[in-house]
This record gives sequence, structure tokens and C-alpha cells, in this order.
Amino acid sequence: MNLSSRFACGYLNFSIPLFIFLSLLAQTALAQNSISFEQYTLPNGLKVILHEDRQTPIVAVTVSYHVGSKDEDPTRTGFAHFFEHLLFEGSQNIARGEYMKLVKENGGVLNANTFKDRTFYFEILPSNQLELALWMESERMLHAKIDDKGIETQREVVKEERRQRLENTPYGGLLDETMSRTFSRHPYRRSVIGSMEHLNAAKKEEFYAFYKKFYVPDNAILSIAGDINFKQTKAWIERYFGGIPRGATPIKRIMLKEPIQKKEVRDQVYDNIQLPAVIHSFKTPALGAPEYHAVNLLATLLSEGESSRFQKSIVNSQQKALFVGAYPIAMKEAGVSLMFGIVNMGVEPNQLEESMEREYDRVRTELITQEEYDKLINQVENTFVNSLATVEGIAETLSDYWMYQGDPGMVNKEMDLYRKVTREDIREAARKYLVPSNRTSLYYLPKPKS
Amino acid sequence: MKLFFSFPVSVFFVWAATIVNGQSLDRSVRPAPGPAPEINLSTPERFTLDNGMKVFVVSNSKLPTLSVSMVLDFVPPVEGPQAGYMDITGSLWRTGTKSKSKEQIDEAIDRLGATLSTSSGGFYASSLSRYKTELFEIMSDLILNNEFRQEELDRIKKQTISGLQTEKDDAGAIAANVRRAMVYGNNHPYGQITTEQSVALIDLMVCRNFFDNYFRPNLAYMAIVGDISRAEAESLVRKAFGSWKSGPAPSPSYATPEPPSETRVVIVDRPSAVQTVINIVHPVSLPPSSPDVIPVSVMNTLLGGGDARLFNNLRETHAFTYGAYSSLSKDPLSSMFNANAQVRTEVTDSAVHEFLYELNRLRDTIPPLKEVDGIRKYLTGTFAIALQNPRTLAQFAIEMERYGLKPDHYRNYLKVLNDVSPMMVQGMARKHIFPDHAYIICVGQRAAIEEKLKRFDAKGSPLIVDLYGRPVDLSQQKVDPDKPTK
Repeated sequence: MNLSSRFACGYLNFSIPLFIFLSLLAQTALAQNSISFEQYTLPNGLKVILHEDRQTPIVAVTVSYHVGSKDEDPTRTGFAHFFEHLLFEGSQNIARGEYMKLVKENGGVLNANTFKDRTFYFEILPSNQLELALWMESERMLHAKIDDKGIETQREVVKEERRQRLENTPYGGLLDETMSRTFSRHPYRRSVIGSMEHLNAAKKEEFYAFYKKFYVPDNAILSIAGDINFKQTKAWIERYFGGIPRGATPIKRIMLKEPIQKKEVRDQVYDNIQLPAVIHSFKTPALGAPEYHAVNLLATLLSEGESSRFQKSIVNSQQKALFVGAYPIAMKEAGVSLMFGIVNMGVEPNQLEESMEREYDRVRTELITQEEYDKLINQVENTFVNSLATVEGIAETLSDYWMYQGDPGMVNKEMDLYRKVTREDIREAARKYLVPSNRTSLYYLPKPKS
Repeated sequence: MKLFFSFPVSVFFVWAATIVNGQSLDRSVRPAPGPAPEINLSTPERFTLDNGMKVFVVSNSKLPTLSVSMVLDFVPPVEGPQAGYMDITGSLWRTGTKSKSKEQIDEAIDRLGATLSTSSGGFYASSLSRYKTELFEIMSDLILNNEFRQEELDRIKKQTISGLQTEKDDAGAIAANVRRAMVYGNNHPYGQITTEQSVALIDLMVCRNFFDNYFRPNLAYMAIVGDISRAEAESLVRKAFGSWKSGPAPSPSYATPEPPSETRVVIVDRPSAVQTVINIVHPVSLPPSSPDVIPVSVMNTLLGGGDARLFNNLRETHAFTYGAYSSLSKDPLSSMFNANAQVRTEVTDSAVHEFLYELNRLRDTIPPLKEVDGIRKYLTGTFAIALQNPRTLAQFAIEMERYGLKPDHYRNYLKVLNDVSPMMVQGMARKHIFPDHAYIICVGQRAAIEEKLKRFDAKGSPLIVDLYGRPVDLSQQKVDPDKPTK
């Protein structure tokens, strides 16, 4: 069962989506090596990262805008993702329908994705097409062009995307159902894909205002990795992006602090499913905040690999679950650790929940062994090294470090930060975060037969 | 086209007149590409063990990792009443060896931070390269000394049945079962459908026999890729698999599946659906050694790749769906053409109409050169992107060996690709795509869609089937899934 594709909403579903939570987890250095790169900021505020990799004659060009569902008007959920679709509609110099065609016909692939904090656009092209990619991304940053036909078409497309991912798929709405109950005030509670009602209400003037506010160079990171020459690349960046003016006014963000949770939230959701599921969502630190690494190691301990606590005990030994996994979702301002389990046939959801609680109790009371600790570090290192195997992976990883933690150089520090976490720290994180008073619990139940 | 944003003219002038290094920027001029970069296709190292196992090695030290994968080349059996035993065996052989329990095996793999997946046709393992010796030791033990235990089989069977339960509400899984049942039927290995009943009949003996008959080194192709030298790889492979005994494997042959004599609409009722899953399918003969493979990939990409004809019609023009695509991949036994989309219930018939319009258009009219050239360029680019992964080179080498392709097949790939003409594309559509001999499978609300789909069914009366492709409506002409409908 792969939940990651449900976390971010993308423009196309055939390209490999960039799995948000995995890439956040996988921020670390190569074993002995470190990633080298250059970073700088243009006078208009555009942040730039360049990484050279001559192995294959391709280049990944990515632009990340610091805008996501958290920035939306609460009566316009789904707006940021809808806008992501519209940014493919063209620009002053790229006609409607031409944007995707231009990339394809020049030997490339492209896609984008939107999540709570940011919207990420990328193309991967043969390296002799770098200038084209820079021109294209600068065109849509500077003067995107979106007409009524484009808006009306993508309105229906996004509604179909919602139907496909959420309404026509078993357990499809689980992230939205969970987040809306986990956060009572913070904008993270809102759906990235949005409600049908709000999607129907979105207006052209609102898109224009949104574009003017958020799609400006001082709100963006341009991250490029591949077979590039730094000198030429910088000259092209200056040429195409240097003249784009920064935003008219600094962006005022809605900062709604989530109150400290004092007691458990419990609820149930009815869906077109056969087997009930149990979801636990624990509030955890934001990306890079203290204890963030300990919390990630905790999730690895619980569910990575066949010998993990959940797999070994709940799935294999007790056979209470068809599947149960731990998913850390750390965002810019807060995090959750989401546990999702589907019962095995003949098992009641409360029985599965009891098994999960026994595992939380174990990690709260017992120190993990040194062998287990070494295993966790190896698992984490393995995942991270592999996330840096492609130019698009490197470009996105570096970009995300800057976006979320203010420093792309974190890529070379992260594995050390993991190694600094002690076994006691892991137990302490469990004691602090894996407790009922910090938990939102949801049962997913089959709709009663009417 | 009306300008969406109107900017003050003076500001526009400032932007248009940006000076960089003394050259002013005219944004209406699309940048031209630089000189075409070279694609380097190096040849993997290779060696063959005495027991027949063929091994290919691609050394690449960019990352401190390595992967080991093995694929077995055999013609699959028809599973029959115990359908599902191949997949279950695929899970079972990693759950115990003479000296190790499942828990001990799991610990050994996870301790290295490694990943391992086993299947009915091989395995894939990867780890940090400093653990290469341990990784090969684990794989050797699993291949040579595996033991199938009743309690592990019972556990896997129970999980499989739970998994089947969840599929009952999964429209995609239902469509997959039904298309295999309709296209291949009971007497073909690709038409075997796993059900609760068939899983209940699976025992240790059928799993053991399957493994012993088909997991043979003389059928095996292994790819070792990453931070390892050929010498190290050879030494580890000989130690791990040198004593694996070769032997014969059954080699059944099957009648070539034929497309139906006329187009039938096949409906699976899901009353709670908000979308219809549409799969328009029929069998195609496209073995890997066929000279049609490359021209077909151009044709299929033009028709149903990303941002291609189906996508632009059903999504960008009509907004019926989040995406509409088609697939037609090579296969040594039988391929299946599948044009597919998930569309909102109300437009199901309109979507089917547009699908058939596009399939017929490609057969009836030679596509424009510009369009074909765009596809050739796209496939050239994705070829280069795939080479980013050193595994691709190993896979090429294995394919050439396994399917008897010419040794310069991939070296010539781009040239052959760029020689595919518009007339050839139309020719491939005429030869391999049959809108008049297809199953139009729709998984959705029967009550809302059946009437409007009648016009697409040659008999004017759609077949109503269950989740496994078996007819449910007794007033229908009975359909025997063993025989193609003639």
C-alpha cells in the first residue's frame, strides 16, 4: 500500500510523483561523500542552487514557490493546487497547449506538485536545452497567461482528480479526514485538493491576485542539477530572471498558532471499503526542529522493513493487520506522525488499535538495543543515498532544504544529526509524542448496507 | 488570445529592455538548443557460470550502493484451480531456510539497511556497498536452502485473502481482473484470476514444485550494478550461486490469443462509483524481437503517452478526466493494447465515443510529420534520461541476450527511432489496434451507463460481469470465458 502519492497533488499522474514524505525523510549526505553545489541570491530575491553532475547529458530544472494550501483563503480550499494546473496554460510568449509540448518535443519530461507549504515545478531535459528550460520557467514567473477556457477546463480536470484520488479510491480521503481533525486552527487542517464547492467558486480575478502575490522571484527557489557549466548557467539565469521585479509588497503570511493538544480526539469515517482501518495522528516537531530526527528514527523503528515493530509483531506474529505503517509528515511549521493500519479479515478495529498501542507502550518504556539502533542508522542512510541517485532528486532535495530549513547545506549535515540521536532520545520522543493526549484517532468503517 | 494580465506599459518596457552583458532580451525569441550531447552506451561486463547462469556487471561508483537483481526466463504454467500459487511462492521463498526462521532472515536484511523483494520470477536486492558480502550470503542461502513452512504459507494465504477483500472496492483492481479474464480466458497463464476460493486450495506441495521446477540457474539472468568491480562481483557470484544445480523446466506452448470477432461492451456494476474506469483492450502479438517494437512505441506514445492525442482530447479539450492514456508493451507470450481513463459517470458514453474516434483516426489518417517528429524527440530524450540509472545498461544487455536481439540493437536504437516515418506510424496502428475487435470494459454505475453504452456493443446488449469477469446477467447470451467470443 503506497500512501505517498496521495499526499501531494500533481499536474499529471503518469510521471513519477516526487513522494513528499520520503524525500523529506531522505535528507542526508552520501556515506563518505558530500554533495557539492553553489548557492546565491539575485538582487530581486530569487534564490539559486546549482549542482553539477556530468555523468548523463541531462539537466533537471526546478522552481519551488513558497505557497501551498496553508496560504489559501479558507473559503477557497484547493486554490494553490488549481493554480498549479493553470501555470501550464502558457505565457505571453508561449501559446495555450504549447508549454507541455515544448518540453516533450525537445526530449524532456515535466510535472509539478502542490502540498501544504509549497508548489514545486520541474522539467528534465537533454542538457543542451537548459536555456530553453530557463526561458520557459522565467516566462511563467514573469507573465503567465491564463484565459477563461483554460480555467474552465482545468476546473473540471481538478474535480476529476479529486474524484479519482479521494472519492473513487478506497481510503482515498484519509489524509484530509485526518488533518482536518488533527489541527483545529492551523491551516494545515485544510485539504490540498480542495472541496467541490470551493473549486466551483474560484474566480479569474482571484487567480490574478494570487499570482501577483505569490509568484514572484523573492518567493521562489530555482534549483538546477545535471550536466551544466556554471558560468554559462549563471549568465542565462541573469538574462532570463534578473529583470523580473520582486513582489510589490512583502508577503504577509497568516500565522495561526495551533493550540497545545490536551486530550485525544476520536472520530469515525464511513467509506466504500471492505476492511476497517485505524489511523493515529500524533503531533510532532516541524522539519528540522529539535527532536525531528528522533521522531523520524522512531517511525523507522516502527515500520521500516520486515523486522520493524509493526511488521514483526502486528502483521506477522499476531496477524491482526493486512498492513500497518508509520508515516512521518514534517512540514514547515508543524509535523504529524501518521500511523495507518488495515485490519486482517476477522479482526475488529479496536483489536488492531490495541496492538498498535502495545507497540507505542514498548517504545515508551524500553530502550531499543544497540543492534536495533545500528540497523535504524543503516536503513536511514540507505534511503537517503538512494534519494540522491537522480538529478531531479538532487535538485529537489537541495531546494527543499532551503525552502524548509533555510540552508541547502543541511544536505551534508543531516546524517551527522541522525547519528547524534541517542537511544534515550528515541525513547524520550516516544514518551513525549506517542501518547493518547497528543493523538487524533480515526476509524475508517465500511458504509452500512442500506 | 486575450491577454489575461494587463501590465502598465512603462513597467513592461522596463522588463523588455533588461540589459544583460550589453545584449537586450527579446523574450519572444525561443532559445535554440546547444550542440547535441553525446550518449555513451558502454557495454556491461559479463560472464556465465558452469550451471548456465548469465551475469552482467555495470560498475558505477557515483553512489556507495549496489543492487543485485535476477530474472528467470520461463513460459509460465496455467495455475488453474489453485490460481495465485506463483505469487504466493514468490513471497514464500524468503520466509525460511534450513538454518533460519523468517524473523532471523528479516533481521539479517534490515540490519544492513538493505531492501529485498522476491517474486515468482526472481528477486531484487540492494544495499550500501560496504555490505556486499553479507548481501550475497543472504541471497545464496535463500536461493539454495529455502524451506517452505506451513505456518508461513497460512499467514501469507490469510493476508492474500484480506488483500482480495480490499480489492472488491478498488475499481482499478477490478478492471485489471476483468480485462485479463476477457482477453485471455481460463486456458492461458495471463488469464488466471486469484480468488478466495483458489487461494484456499493452495498447499505447500504446489508451491514447492513450482519453485523446484522453475528456479534454475540455467534460466537465470543476473544484473549487478553499482559500487563493485567485475572481479569482486564474479568472486561473490561464484561463491553464492556456483553450486546451484541446473535442470530442465517445463516449456508449454499456448494458442495465440485472438481479438474478439466484434466489439463488446463489458460492464462491472459498482453502484457507489462516482467515476467509470474505462479500459478498451484486446490482445496483440508483439514479441521483443519483432521489428515492430520501436515503431509501435512511437505510435503508442503519439496516441496515448503524456500530453498525447488521448490526453489532449479527453482531458485538455473535454475535461472528462484527470488523464487518458494507452499502453502497448512488448511481451514474449502475448501483449495487450489498453486505452484507459477514469471519467466522471455522466460522460462515460461521450468518453468512449472520443476514445474510438482517436483510435480510428490514427488508423485512417497518416499523422503529420511535425507530430511524429515531436514524439521521436521525446523518446530520444527519455532514452537519455533512463541512462541516468546504471541499471538501464544491464537491462539492455539482458534483453539482447534473452530475446536474441542483435548485439548493436541499443546502440542503433536512436537511429532506428528517428527513421520511424508518419506512414509507418499509421501502419502500426492499422496492424495492431482494432477498435472493431475490442472489449470496452467499464467499471462503474451500471444503472447510469448501460443504456447509453449500448450503441458501442456489436450486439446492442452489453455483457454484465462480476468482479472476476464472469457473466452475471442470465438473460444474456452465455459467455464461455474459455473461448474467445466468435
